Amino acid sequence: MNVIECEHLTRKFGRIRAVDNLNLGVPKGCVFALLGPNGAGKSTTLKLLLNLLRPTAGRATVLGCETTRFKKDQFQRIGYVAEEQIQADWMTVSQMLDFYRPLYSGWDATLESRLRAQYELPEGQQLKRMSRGTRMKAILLSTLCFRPELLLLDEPFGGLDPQVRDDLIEGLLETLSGDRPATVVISSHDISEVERLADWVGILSEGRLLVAEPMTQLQARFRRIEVVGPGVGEKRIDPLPQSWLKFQSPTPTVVQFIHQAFGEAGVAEAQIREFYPQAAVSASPMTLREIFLAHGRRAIPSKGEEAQ
Amino acid sequence: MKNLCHLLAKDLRRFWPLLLLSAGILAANLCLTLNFYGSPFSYQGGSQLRPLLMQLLQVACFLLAFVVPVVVIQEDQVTGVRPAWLTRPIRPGTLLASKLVFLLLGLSVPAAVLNCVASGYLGASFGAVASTATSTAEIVAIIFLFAALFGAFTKTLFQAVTALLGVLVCLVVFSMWFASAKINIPRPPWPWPSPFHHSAETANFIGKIVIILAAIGALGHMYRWRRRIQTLGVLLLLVWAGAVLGRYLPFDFPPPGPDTSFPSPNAAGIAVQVYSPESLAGPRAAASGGPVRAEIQPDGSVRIAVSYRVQGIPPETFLKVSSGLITKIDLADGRKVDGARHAITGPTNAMARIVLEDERRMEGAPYSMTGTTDNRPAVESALGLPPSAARPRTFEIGTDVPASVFAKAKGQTARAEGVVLLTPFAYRILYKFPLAVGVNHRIQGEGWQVRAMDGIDDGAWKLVVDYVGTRSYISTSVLTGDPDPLVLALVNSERNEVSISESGSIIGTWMCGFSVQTIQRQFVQRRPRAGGPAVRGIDADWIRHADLYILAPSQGVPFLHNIADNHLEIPSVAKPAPPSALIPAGVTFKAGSPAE
Repeated sequence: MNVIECEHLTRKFGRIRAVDNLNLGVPKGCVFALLGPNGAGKSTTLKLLLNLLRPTAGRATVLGCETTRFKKDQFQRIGYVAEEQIQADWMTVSQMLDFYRPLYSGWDATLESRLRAQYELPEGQQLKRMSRGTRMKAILLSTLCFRPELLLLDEPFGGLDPQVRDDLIEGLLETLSGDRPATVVISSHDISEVERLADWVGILSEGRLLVAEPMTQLQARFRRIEVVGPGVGEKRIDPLPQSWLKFQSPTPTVVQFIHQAFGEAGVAEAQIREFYPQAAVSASPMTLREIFLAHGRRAIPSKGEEAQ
Repeated sequence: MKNLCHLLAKDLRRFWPLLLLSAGILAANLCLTLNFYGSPFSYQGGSQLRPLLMQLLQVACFLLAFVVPVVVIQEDQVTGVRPAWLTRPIRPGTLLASKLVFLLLGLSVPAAVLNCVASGYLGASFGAVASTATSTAEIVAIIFLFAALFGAFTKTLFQAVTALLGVLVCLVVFSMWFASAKINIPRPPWPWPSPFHHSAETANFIGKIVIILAAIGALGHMYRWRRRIQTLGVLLLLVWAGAVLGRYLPFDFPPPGPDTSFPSPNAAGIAVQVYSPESLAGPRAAASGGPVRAEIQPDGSVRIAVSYRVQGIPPETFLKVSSGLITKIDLADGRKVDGARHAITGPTNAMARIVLEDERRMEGAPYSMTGTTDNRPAVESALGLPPSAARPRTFEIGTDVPASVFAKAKGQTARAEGVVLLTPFAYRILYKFPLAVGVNHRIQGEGWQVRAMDGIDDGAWKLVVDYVGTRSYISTSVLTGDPDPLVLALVNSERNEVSISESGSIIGTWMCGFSVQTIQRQFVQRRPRAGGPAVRGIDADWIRHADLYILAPSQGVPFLHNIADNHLEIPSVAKPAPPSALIPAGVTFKAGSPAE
């Protein structure tokens, strides 16, 4: 069962399509990492899922409720943390928690005290006087304590030092490890940290969803291929198979590319052998960062190129 | 409800210093005002710094009335996608309600309470205090609701102030457009029997309610949808609908009431001491007046009246008696004091309050505020009145006390104490044009038009005048809740007659919002006819040579005057009703005079 369902979700700002025909399903209980370069539409997607923005076209359903019909009760089950949010920063941590606590029926006081101890927050200091990382901790704390069923995090680790990141992640993991594991959607640039948490990955580029699948499947599907043999670099292949990305030949005897459909190894190898029957072929697994960069550098043709 | 209180507590924790500051400024303003008005010699002997300080405090009050709502609303911004409350289980309606309750409790109620205190200090009755409180709360509510709208449409205080200035500039720039729109909206016929038979006061009340509901509606729309353009459209639609509906509502004026003048001979006695302000009447231009009188009326009630004379007032100045009251009446004769007190039921203030609002009557003679003073002797001669020099300008105020109050005191004597609040006014002429239907006079976007005159030669005469223009909306008269800063005067230059006697008041079509307003007045020209009793009405031949003057009064410094140690004779026998309210007995009129 999917916690989030998007059908042809589109949001335009003037002529710019920030989110373009997004079809997405996020299964319950997963940690979904929404990756993409700047301006890819990650934050806009999250805002559409929270009904902060209204879709230009299409629809999105979150926890079984269409976003445009969100009421107060939906936010008893959804947590949202974003750096850009305007908080009542005149409050201290205690005042903030005192303010939020009565608003939630499922507030977990035990988790609150545990996280307060773990995060070591300065209780009497106003939010506006806190460092960025401490402030994020306080806000995350106020979000985790009501044990949301769905947690949306918009660039939660941006600009934080490793110690603070670890603290935040520990808190997140603790929430996820409870008897009611939450579904988490994280939009981030910080791929290495996300990689530790995420079990599903979605990659957005120019408002369009390029990839959305389990992390293991994604990593199994992508391989860096190196073909070595006499004259392989001089051989012209036209057109290139669609599953080959970033094809290049650094030397006349070497060809490198990324194969994005390597899941069935036998089939992929046979396809390569079809073009390079005598060459030595090696396939090495890729990190999430490499996969992301492969997409981020326009490895997939843009709309204009497709049209041509 | 629980969440509303929770949100309210949060705002209270955040803004208590601001509320304390606003309450302090309100209280300081009030204290200074009371202290200033409380002394009859305050104007002459007081420091010149005090009026300046009072003005500064009043400006601070208005600033607070705008700033507090804006910052309270912007604490949880309505626009944009960044406010944290949007992703928390907070219902927009609850948040809006908490803000409105906060502003009501934080601004309206303190202002109303402080005004109550002031009214009580001046000795007003419970009813008057309640009325003052309600009126103050309404006005403050209207101000803070519109300030809240500015807060809801913007993200910072600077933006809100800029937006306010922008709106004010637009109102001024487009006032011509509004005015022409108003002129071109005819009042459509009302096909059914009129369901409205309200007084102008009721119309004003309904207008305020409409304004409050429109502002709350726009705020509600903004909180629900968070779309500025849409909400602006809704607000403009409400304003437009109000303007059109305002033309449909056929408010009726009540028929003229009984004559409220108190003609009686001036007897000797201790009287009101009046000191006119230097700017109007010269330093310490003292005046004297008549005593407090008690007259038993035919219906058994006791009319308590005080007359006073004023000297040294320039021609274009008159005194408006805002209110007066007898604070204490002791049935004297020493040994009977206790018993006499026992006979008076209820609070003394309520019992003996004297109110005659808007008294603008010069007794028995043409009023000389538009330059006809020089011709006064001729007019006086025509009317058969004594010369001006010998005839003091006498004013009177009074009230009817129910018969039961003095039931046991008839035939006794008493000592009366009280106060009268006097407000001197000077006038300047804004417009002058012939008094004929359809005639209008406009300067840029502001002006007047005579829409209708009913009842000529036939009893009560009603004049309906449209005020076109919008500038009054940015004048302090609106902010202070006085929707009537202007006075209409009829001047027959051929006969040297000026009439500002009137009943009825502005009909509050300023509920039409920011566009335009209609002012309707019902004039009752006390028109004495030769050989018979005075009748109400106006003649066509009088109007033929008449001009309509629009006058702006500039208010002087009000004075609170004590009526002290008055010897009061309470008769035991009712006096007969006076045959005429205005014309002294025995006066005859010459042919060709206005009294013809």
